[in-house]
Amino acid sequence: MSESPALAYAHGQDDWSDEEAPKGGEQTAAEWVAPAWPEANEYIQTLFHELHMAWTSETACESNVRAIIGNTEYRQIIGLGPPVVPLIIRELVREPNHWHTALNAITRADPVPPEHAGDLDAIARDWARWARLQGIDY
Amino acid sequence: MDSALLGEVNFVNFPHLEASLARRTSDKTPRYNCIAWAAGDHRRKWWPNAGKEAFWPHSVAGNATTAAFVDAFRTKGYTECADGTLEPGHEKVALYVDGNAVRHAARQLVDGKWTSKLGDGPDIEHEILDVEGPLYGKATVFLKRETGAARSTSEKKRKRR
Repeated sequence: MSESPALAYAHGQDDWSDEEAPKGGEQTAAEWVAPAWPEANEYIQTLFHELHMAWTSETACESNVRAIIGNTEYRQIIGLGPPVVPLIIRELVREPNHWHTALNAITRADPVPPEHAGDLDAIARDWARWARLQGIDY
Repeated sequence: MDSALLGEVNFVNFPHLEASLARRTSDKTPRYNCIAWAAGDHRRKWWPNAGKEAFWPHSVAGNATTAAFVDAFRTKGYTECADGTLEPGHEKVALYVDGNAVRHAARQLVDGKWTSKLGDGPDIEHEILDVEGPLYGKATVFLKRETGAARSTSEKKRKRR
């Protein structure tokens, strides 16, 4: 079974065939426009920044990368869902960090090739490129 | 301790650091971690079984045991040795271990002091005991390899034989 249009959108697919395109009204594949990425309201923005600060503070001296991405505040950021994606992209462009796991969990996309493993600058570029292709305003 | 480190570390995790002569030697950055720094890689993070968040040598087991970390350093030419005493012609790495889990690594400098990257914080120059504590455990496993100059002399001798 093919994935839903929304999931395909999250995976970066932008070349819809007629069969795959959403079937809303008389809309054709050529007319279909990707929906705007959900925006974070003020509450989500504040919560994201608080969780981000707590995460970086609690893991500041941590060597164990699995502990860094397993941190409670980090998992709570993932729980905020799609609205935090533009906030994360903005943050990783400002300063690369371990955002791949969160972005992958929220969007189900994975634009990072295996050879970039551990290279936070390259991973940031991969996700920024992905965000631009999705039309995400960050 | 270097006052530039104040505010960077939680001294509860490093009970020996506050009274030490450790000094900060870089800005803080999340781009590499202590394992990468000890292995001479300041371009990416090293850690086992962390997906794309960290590099780990393909040939080495993906767990955080002492054996896996020793194997990872073997890929950089290190072999296990008895302790962290300074040996001219060799550079050493100390693995800080808690139970059987590796928590940290430091690399010996030519004067016998050690250099560490504190998580996503700065690099520091320190004595080996300075970063022992509840977060990193104790410096328990030591590895060594010949330094660049000694290594090329050994290779020339081997080729002559």
